[in-house]
Formats: sequence, structure tokens, C-alpha cells
Amino acid sequence: MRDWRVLVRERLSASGDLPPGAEAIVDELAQHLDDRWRELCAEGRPDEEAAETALREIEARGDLVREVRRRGQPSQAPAGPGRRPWSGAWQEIRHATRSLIATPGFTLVALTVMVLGMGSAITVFSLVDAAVLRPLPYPDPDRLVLVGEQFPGRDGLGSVAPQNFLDWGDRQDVFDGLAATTSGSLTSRNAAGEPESLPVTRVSAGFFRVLGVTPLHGRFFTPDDEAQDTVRVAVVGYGYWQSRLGGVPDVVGREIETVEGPIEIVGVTPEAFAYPPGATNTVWLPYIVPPDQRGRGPYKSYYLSVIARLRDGVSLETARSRMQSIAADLRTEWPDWFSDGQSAGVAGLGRSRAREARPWLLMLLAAVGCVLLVVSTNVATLLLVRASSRSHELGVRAALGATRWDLVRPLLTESLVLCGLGGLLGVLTAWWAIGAVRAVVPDDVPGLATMAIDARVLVAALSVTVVAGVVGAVPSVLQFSRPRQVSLVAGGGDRTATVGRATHALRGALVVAEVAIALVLTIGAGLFLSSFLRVTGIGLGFETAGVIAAAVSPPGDVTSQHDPDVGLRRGQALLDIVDDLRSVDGVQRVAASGGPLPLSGGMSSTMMRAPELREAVSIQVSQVSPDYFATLDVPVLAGRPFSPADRDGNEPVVILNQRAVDQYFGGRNVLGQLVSVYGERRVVGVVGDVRHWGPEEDVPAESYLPLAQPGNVFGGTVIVRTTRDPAAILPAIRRAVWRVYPEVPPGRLVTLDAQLENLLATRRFNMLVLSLFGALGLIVAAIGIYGVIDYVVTQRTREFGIRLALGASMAGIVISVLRRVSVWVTAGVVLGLAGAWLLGSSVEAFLFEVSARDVGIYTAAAVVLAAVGLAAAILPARRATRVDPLVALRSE
Amino acid sequence: MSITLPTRELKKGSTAFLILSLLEERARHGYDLARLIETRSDGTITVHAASLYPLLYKLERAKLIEGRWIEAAATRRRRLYRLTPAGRRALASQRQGWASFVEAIARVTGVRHA
Repeated sequence: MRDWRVLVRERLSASGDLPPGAEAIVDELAQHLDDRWRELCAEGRPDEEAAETALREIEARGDLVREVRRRGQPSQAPAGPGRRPWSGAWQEIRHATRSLIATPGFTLVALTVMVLGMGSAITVFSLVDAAVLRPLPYPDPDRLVLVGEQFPGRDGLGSVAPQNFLDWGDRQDVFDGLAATTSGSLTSRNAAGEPESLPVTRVSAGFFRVLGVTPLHGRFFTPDDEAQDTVRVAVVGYGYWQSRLGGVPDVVGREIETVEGPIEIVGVTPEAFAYPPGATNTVWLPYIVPPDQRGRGPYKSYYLSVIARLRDGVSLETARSRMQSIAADLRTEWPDWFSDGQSAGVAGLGRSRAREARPWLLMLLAAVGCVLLVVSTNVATLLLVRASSRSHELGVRAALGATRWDLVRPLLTESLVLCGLGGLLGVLTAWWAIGAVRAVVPDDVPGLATMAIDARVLVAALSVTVVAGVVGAVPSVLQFSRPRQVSLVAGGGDRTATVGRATHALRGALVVAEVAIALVLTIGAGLFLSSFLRVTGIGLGFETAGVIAAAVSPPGDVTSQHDPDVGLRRGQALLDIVDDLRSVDGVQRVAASGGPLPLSGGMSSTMMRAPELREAVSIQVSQVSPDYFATLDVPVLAGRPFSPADRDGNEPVVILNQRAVDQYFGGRNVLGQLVSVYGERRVVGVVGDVRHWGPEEDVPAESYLPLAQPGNVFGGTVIVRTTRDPAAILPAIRRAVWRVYPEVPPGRLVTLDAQLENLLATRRFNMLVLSLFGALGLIVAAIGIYGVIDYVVTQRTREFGIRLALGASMAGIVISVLRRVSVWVTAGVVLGLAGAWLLGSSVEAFLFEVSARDVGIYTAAAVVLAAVGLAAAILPARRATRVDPLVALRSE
Repeated sequence: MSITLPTRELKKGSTAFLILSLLEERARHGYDLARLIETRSDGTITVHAASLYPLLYKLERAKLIEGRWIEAAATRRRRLYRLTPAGRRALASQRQGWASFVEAIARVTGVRHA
């Protein structure tokens, strides 16, 4: 008895062991051959002859062997025609997933691109969302507005003077309450008895009501609290209550010990409340308008932030015009006070947030859009190449009656599964990245505190994923889902057929698009990098290395600010501190100034008169100790610096900076002349220009007065040049300050290098993000080109084999492959340059001394991209030269 | 009567059609199908096992036919194939296609059925 199974197995397994799934084939064939043999025998044929004839049935066994091999692979069963559209959706997903796992190289590459793109996009989006897009976390946030001073010729709304706040409050009828806030500090004593400063927020009585907050415990402030002459009550934040007060239930009624006396806690804010959003609020105090700021005297101070809630039925426009007319009335009543011509302005509170940052944050969002576009294009390219290599299978399915939807479904599912997985991993990457960003980026970048993967960000990520999935499938679907009326002659084995022209053109178009977008991103990176380098290359006019500065806030209320005697005493106090510190180990030089920390802005200005000036001119002014210029390494260009002899009782003197001399005196020699700055003074020196506001701002005209002479000292900063670590000097500074002001904690201690870092923080952040995007664009374009060329080379293997056999050179083969790439890259570069040119004007505002159409940068970016593109093509192109002609020529 | 045809290509393309129409009457196994094709075409079209079974598996994957193992006592197990509803629809569409094709050829060349 013949064992047909053995005979069948012998013939089928010539190319290796049979997989378990092939046993069914063996069974069926064995049965067939047995039936055939019996039939032949019944016709009278001899046994051996009948067996031989039967076995000839499986002689041409190419298709059988392929079938056997197929059984060894994971099931590739496609969805059959005629099913309801989404029946078996889960099966489709499983099939797509298996198909992706079966080609790990492709899947890994496509996923990497997606994860990098989605991850960076989601991270940046969550920052922008937190800073500008998310609605304010208060009830009815659209009704909240910011009310501010509007100065002619200046953008935006400025801080408000208390006098205006009070008058507006009395006269307005469009708001459900006007509230003012300002920052301040509270000095208490810590466990060691040392004075400790606590930052607090001072708010007017209507503040919490305007924001729609109710207290968790106790109450909020009332107008009675504001009518006191000093602060006696406080509201604490939830976090402060939990961490510093132990979260005790009877917190209302307890007291906070301060150097000015005890303050009673009257309420606690709810857990989720913070103002501004994301801030850590510790303690709230009532804002009490200082007596000398209730009437309109000679001094104006603008420091309040005023918010309001629109009354029901009142629109923003109505409120705006009403406030403007109130301001106009006030201008008429107090013409001297309103000599600057300012008015009142109203803007939505949400839109006012991060006002300066809004433009560049939105620009980052646009860059994110470019990144997502290039990633989607790349996914589409890779999927199209993948579909091309399955065109045979798809063609057969179409010929066997599959509907269009039956062909679209697997392509679409694969794309969605790929993008979905990429999106999920992208979210996880972003989640990690946010932690890293918070650790690295300075606090000045808005939105940093509250950026998170919240529901909004997840919804955005999901939408982008779905859109990318659908878009990614479009080219493959367009090419391979038309159930062509392929006559059934499109049999198997047609792998060497050259690819349809349309598909090829589509692939080329996708590569061109990728190159173009990548170029735009690269140019963007180049522009911002160049700006950043320019900014950091600008000399500040003084030396920051090794210099630390500490703010000293003398006690006493703000009213005595303009009392000349108080000013002198404060100036002397600072000089005493400087003397004290001179002898400290490690201190090379020490000086003081009567203004704020260097590089933090906020200088004072006043008017200067001089005989040769037709009118009074505005000039910055600060009071400094004799060693100030030496400590900061500011060059003295003419005359001399201050000396200990320049003090009260001797001739009043002033030093001007070069800018003042150029701007107001035509650059002439002004030494010895008399000018009037806080009184008549003689010019004794000219110093180099100092960029107090950092490298990007203009240098203003400045005057310096000696600390020891009457002037306008309201704060104070101690500046120390040292070789030691700042932390080692801090105790000495503290002791020096306490010897003079026992009740005052030193304010912030900073190194000037850190101050500079802060100023550059935003620009650095932008530069880093855009450089990352540019690099990403390059990588993605390279991957796209590599994938396509790799496929094309595979398709033309036979052709290359023939050419090599006919004597073509390796170089010739490589060049013929690269020729196509060059066309694509060139087209992409041209498109990208045009695109960047058109978009140029929209980023001009963010650049510094770099034109948005800088030819050098455009050229460099184009060269880099072309080089990357060609390099990406060379690897697969070289593979074309390693084709063994004999292998390629063997027919399939 | 023998007809000269561009045999290989035409045969390859039309075998699936033949199989579907044979299965329309009733379920059959592979050997049955091969024999029927040969006898009903008077020997013009023969299909060997090496081409038949791969084609059956393809049609099965495309869900146009459905195969089932039948165990009978004392004999080997056989696989029986039957047409699915989708297969019926595909067959109808194929029939129409062929009918149009044949008519078109007839119009051009003047060949008429008996």
C-alpha cells in the first residue's frame, strides 16, 4: 500500500521542513493522488504507470511550495468581500498589528518618526495651552477683564496708580466690582530668630468676589479691613495652611507673628485656587492705599494690577468706551496729573495673560504644526512604499471581486494602528519630557508651572493621531484601492512588473513635500540659532562673571520714599554695609546702588535740565557708591568716578553715561558743566554705556549720583565681586545688613550670570525648541528618502543585474539611482526656500539683528538638507551595485 | 473539436470562474472538481493538483468558498468546498463579465453560437 503522504512530503519539502500548518495540504494532496491512481488503475493502467502519472500532477509545484511557506507564516487572511463595513473591526486591528509586527524594520522606523514628532508636538502644545489657550480656572472666565493705564504710543495696558483705581471704582457702572492686586512681602522670624521674608499678595476687598471664589474656612476681606491704618488680618492659601500651619482645623483666629506685630488669620482659600493660575500663593493681605497716594500730589506710582468682572449684559466694547470716557473726565479735572495723556483700557483677562509671550508661543505652535505635517507625510510615504510591495496581493483580491471598501479597510486600519501606537508612545514621551522641561527651563517661561498632560491635551493628541492615521493612508488608498477591471490574466508571480507610473509620481511628490517642509524647519532653526548667538555676543557694558548682588529692602512704609532726609539715611546705611563687607574674606570689590538689582529692569527716571537744552529731557537716574564702576568693570571714559569726598555738604556732582552725552550734548566734552538732576550738579565724569535691561534693549541716557548726597534712594542693592561661591558669602552679607537694619531680611541674592540667564531664558527656549524641530525635520526627510529609494532599488534589482552583467560600472548604477533623488531633492529645496521666504515676515519680530530672509542661512540650510538627502539615498543605492547578476537574472 | 487558444493565460484566469460555477450546484471536494472540469470541457481544459489546490486556498482566503473536513469511517478525511454568499455574488458578476466579453468578440469577429 503506497503512502501518498510520504511521497507528497518528499516533493514539497525539498526546500526545508514542512511547517505544521502544511500538514492539511499534504493530506488533501495525498487523497487527490490516491483517487487519481485508483481511477487510472480502474481504466486498466499498470500500477507503476498509474502512480507515475498521478505523481506528475504535482510536478509543477511552485505554487504549492509557496502555499506551504505561507502556512508557516502568521495568518495573512484578508477580509473577504461582501461583509458589512465594520464587522470584524477588532479582527482587522489584530490583522494589521500582526502585519506590522511581521515587518519589524519598517514598523520600528515609522514608529520612531511618529514618537519623536508626536512627543515634541504634545510637549510644546501643553506649554502653549497652559500659557495662553486654556480658559482661566474661575467661574465664567469670559467675563473677567483687566483694566489698566493706556499710555499714548505704548502697546498694551500698564499698571495702575492707586488714585486712578479709587476714582474708577467710584465712577464706573459697567463692572460687578473692581479689584486691585499687588505683590508685597511679610517679615516674620524663623526658628533661629532671624528675620524671614514671605512673599505675599495684597488685594482689595472685592478681589475674591470678582474671581467668584468662596472661602474654604472663615471669610475674605471687607472694606472695614481696608479702612484700618495698618494690616491686621490675613487670608492664607490652602497649601500654606497645610504645610506651615499643620492643616489644623481651628486655623481661623490664629495669628501670624510678624516684626510689625501679630496678624490674625480670618480665612483660607480653597485647595484648587491660585491667582494668577499656577502661582503658589501663601498669604493674602488686604491692600491699604497709602495716605499720600489717595490724593493727586506730585508723585505718581503705577504698580497695581486691576481686574474686574463685567456686569450682566455689558459687553467688552461697552466697558471699554465707558472707561475711556471716565478717563477723559479725569483728564479734564486734573490736567497736570494726566500730563502724559494716559487713558484707561480694558482687555479680556484671558487674552492679557502672558501678553508678551503670546506671539512667540503661537509661533511655536505653528512650528509644531509643521512638524506634524512632515511626520504625517513621512508616514504616508512609508505606507505607500509598503502598499506598493503588496500590489500583487491587492490586485488579485480586486480581481476576485473585493469591493473598494474591502481594499481600503486594511490599508486604513494599518495606518490607524501605526499612528495610534505612535500617538500613545508620543504621549508617554511627552509626559516624561514635561518633567525634564520643568527641571531645565527657567521659571520665566509662562505656562511652565501648569503645563501638564490633561484632558485637553489628550483630546488634541487623539485628534492629531486620527487625522495623521487617515492622512497617512490617503496616498496608498488612492493608488491601490481601485478595483480595476483587471482581467483574470493578472495571475501570480508578477513581481518583476514595473510599478505604475502614477504610484511612482505620488511617491516622488511625497518625498518632495517632506524635503520642502524639512527645509522650512531647518531654516527656522538656523534663524533662531543665529539670533541667539547674536544676542549672547552682545557686550553688556559691565562684567557679570563672579559678581553677586543682594537686594536690600529697608523698612518703613512707602510714603517716606520721597523725603530727602530719609533718602540720605538710607544711602548712608548702604555705604555702611559696603564698608562692612570690604574686609570679608574673598571679597575683591564691593559697592552699592540705590536701585534694584542689575539686569532686572525697573530703573527710575527723572527730568534733566541744562543751559544748552531747550527743554527738560528724560534721563535714567541711580545713586551709587564710589566703587560701583570699578566693581562692575564699567569703564570711566572721561573725568573721574565718585570718591568718598562726594558727600552731603560738598559740591553736588553727577556722572553721565556716553549715551547721554551723545544724545543730549552732541558728544561734546561736558566735564565741568552744570546740569540739573535732582538739583543742580556738576558733571565730573563720563562712563561707558551699560545695558541694564539686558542685551536686547537699547541703552538709555543715564545719570549717576553719589549715594552720600541727597537724591532718591528707595531700595538698595549690594554688589559684590568675589572669587568664592555665592553661598559662602551670603552669611557675611546678611550679618552686614542686620547690623544696620536688624529687622530686615536680605532680599534675593543672585549672581549676575544667573540674571543674564533669566533674561535670555525665553530666547534660549525658543532656539532650543526650533533647533530640535529642525533636526527632527532633517531626520524625517532622510528616512523618507531612504525608504523610497530602498524600495525602488529592490524593484529594479533585475534591471541592475542585467546592466551589471552587460558591463555597466558600479558608479554608473549608483548615479542612475541618485539622479532620481536629485530631482526630488532639488524640487523640495526650491519649494522649501519659497515657503520659508513667504513665511519670513511672520517671524521677523522674533529675531534679533537677523533678517528673516538671510541669504546665508537659507543657503546653508539648503546645502545641509541636500547633503542629508543624498547621503540617505547612497546607502540603498550602493546596495544596487552589490546585486549578483546571476541571482537577479534567474527567473522567478 | 480542439480550439487553439492562448491557453496558459486564459486557463489561469478562468479556472476560478469554473470552480465557482461548479460549486454553485453543490459542495464538492478537490478531485471531484478536477474531474468535472475535464469531462465537461471534453478534455479541453485540464487542471492538475499543483494548480488546483493553491487556487482553492486563494478562493478560501478571499472568503468566496468555504472548506470543511469530512471524516468518514475507513477512509482518509476529505475536504469539501462550498460556495459562500459572497462567492455567489462574485460568480454572478463574473458571469456577466464573460457574457459581455463574449458578445463583444462575437460582434467584432462575426462568430455566432450554434
